[in-house]
Amino acid sequence: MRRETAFSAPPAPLPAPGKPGLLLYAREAAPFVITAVLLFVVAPNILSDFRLNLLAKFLCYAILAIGIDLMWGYTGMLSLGQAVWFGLGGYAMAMYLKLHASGESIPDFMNWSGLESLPWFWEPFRYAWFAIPAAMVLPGLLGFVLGYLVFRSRVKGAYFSIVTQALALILSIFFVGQQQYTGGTNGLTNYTELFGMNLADTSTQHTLYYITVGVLLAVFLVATWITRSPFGRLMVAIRDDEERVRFAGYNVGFMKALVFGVSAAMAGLAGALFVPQVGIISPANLGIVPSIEFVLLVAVGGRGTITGAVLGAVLVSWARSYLSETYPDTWQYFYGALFVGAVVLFPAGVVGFYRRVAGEVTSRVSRLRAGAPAPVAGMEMDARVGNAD
Amino acid sequence: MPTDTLLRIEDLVVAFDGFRVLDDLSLTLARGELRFLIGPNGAGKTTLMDVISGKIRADSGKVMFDLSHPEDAVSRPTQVDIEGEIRFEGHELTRMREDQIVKAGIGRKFQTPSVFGSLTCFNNVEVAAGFRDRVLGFFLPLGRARKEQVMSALERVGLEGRRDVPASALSHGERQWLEIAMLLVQDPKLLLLDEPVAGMTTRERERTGELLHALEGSHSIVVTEHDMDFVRQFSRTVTVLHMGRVLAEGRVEAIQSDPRVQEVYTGRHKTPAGAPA
Repeated sequence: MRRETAFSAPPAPLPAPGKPGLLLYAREAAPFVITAVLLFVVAPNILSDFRLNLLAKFLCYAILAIGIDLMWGYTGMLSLGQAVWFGLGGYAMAMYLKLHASGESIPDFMNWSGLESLPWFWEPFRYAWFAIPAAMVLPGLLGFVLGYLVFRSRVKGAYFSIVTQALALILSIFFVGQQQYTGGTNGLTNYTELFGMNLADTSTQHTLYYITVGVLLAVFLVATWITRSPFGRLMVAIRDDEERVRFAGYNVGFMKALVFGVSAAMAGLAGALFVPQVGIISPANLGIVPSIEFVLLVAVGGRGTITGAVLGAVLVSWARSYLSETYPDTWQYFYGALFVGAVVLFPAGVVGFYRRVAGEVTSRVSRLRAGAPAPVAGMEMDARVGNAD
Repeated sequence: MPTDTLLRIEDLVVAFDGFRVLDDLSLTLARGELRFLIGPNGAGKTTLMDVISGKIRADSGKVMFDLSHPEDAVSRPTQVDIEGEIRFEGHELTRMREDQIVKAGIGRKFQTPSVFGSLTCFNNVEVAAGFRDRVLGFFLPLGRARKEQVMSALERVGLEGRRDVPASALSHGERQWLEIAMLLVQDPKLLLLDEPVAGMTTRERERTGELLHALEGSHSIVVTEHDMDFVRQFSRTVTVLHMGRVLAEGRVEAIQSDPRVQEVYTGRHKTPAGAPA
């Protein structure tokens, strides 16, 4: 795979400084290539159908986690309502699947609630060409518009997080309340087929798995491209000092809304892939609890790196399902302890921890080679910061 | 030196909770002029810069500008009627967002150097350089011209050797320079430098002073400074602010022998360093 082109931009904002060279490109491309091989070749051959389906679900979370990382890790905006976009994307897909399963009649839950005809806003979701793009575009647009309004009034930091959390709460309550339109607490379920493929078939689930992997890799590349482009530097600049960016002549609110929109679109895409593989979407998927779990995926993996987001999503989701299977009664304690432990012991996440260890090893090796003490790049940096003031 | 006016401020008032931080302040700045702004703490120096750069809004007053470069007007937002408080090249600054003011040609360096710690020096200047780019341009790799533009800004402040060093690793003085480079790359018509030599070594101060002299003529510069040695060495015209008003204006020698200025400084028990007591 030719991925070098995606990495040919000047040195990235966060990784260790170094001259761009073939070796560096190889090192930078390595996580991507390894992920691709693992997911495309290794996983389908060693995992049972059930596990593969679970992995597909985790990979949907990984897509969403990349979006969160762009917002939080790179731009410094912590959204505690990302499940909203995931849910909207999921519902868009679910509406299409549900209508398809219902054939000529209206969906079953509408009958039960006394509706006699399909509501107008359900109508366009009969068509895949509308529903599938809408799963991305709708959350993206809404995220952008909402973000712009919020950021224009200079709402930021914890206040922004609270606004997004409130949004998650409002939307989940709204979806429960509008039973005749949304299926209420039960959500949307009982789908039959997608593009003529029976969703109950193993082969369909395999196909969906491969599609998910493909989409994840594409999102991975897009995110890498964004973070390596000048826009990526602008995102980091906003994270570091938003005021300075404003006084450097940027409409910061617009830029932040843009990142929010992209992030929301990624979450919507993840939701759309999630629904046919899991078979249900309900208001429980778009509330506060999943929103916070989503943020923790990135926190554990290591924010500020795309690999960290993907790794965190898969590791945490795997741990969740492993713990709940092994300790059906007490797993939530272990799960909680995992988060507390990860945040306390590895504040920079798995990737941050790896970098620290790798950095120390490299510096010791170079010290041994040079026969003289050579400071770690990071430590040298800290020392100078200390001198500055 | 060009003599036409770039910025004219008239009767500017800024009040915080009834206290007038700027009290009927009037000031005129010529195109290409280097102006030092001194005064005791609380005289209103930073507030004045805040108003010009859009960080805070004026309560009343007027700042006018004669649009003497009509060819510039094409690429600029349309002229607004003269009702507002600050006019800069036909712009009414008080109704503009901070970023629009920067795009109109006013660059600001803050009192505490603010740079982007996790970005390299190069990337810091690169971010500043892209301020007029269209959104889509941000997703393409940097062009050669832009890279050269960024490097030449770094060279002007002597940071070219530190291009790949994260800004958080710079010394205080180097950060000041980096922030100045971020202004220079935008080629503003007016630079507002709030205490640019604070925390610099003697050698660094000299370099900064030389840089100011190199920039005057092609840029208008307003510098606030507490360090009287620096002011004596590099100033042209000095404006003394006191209680939100202009107390005195002139060459530094004349200013220092002005009894009113001496009283303001000594009366507040705050003798400027090296000033004749």
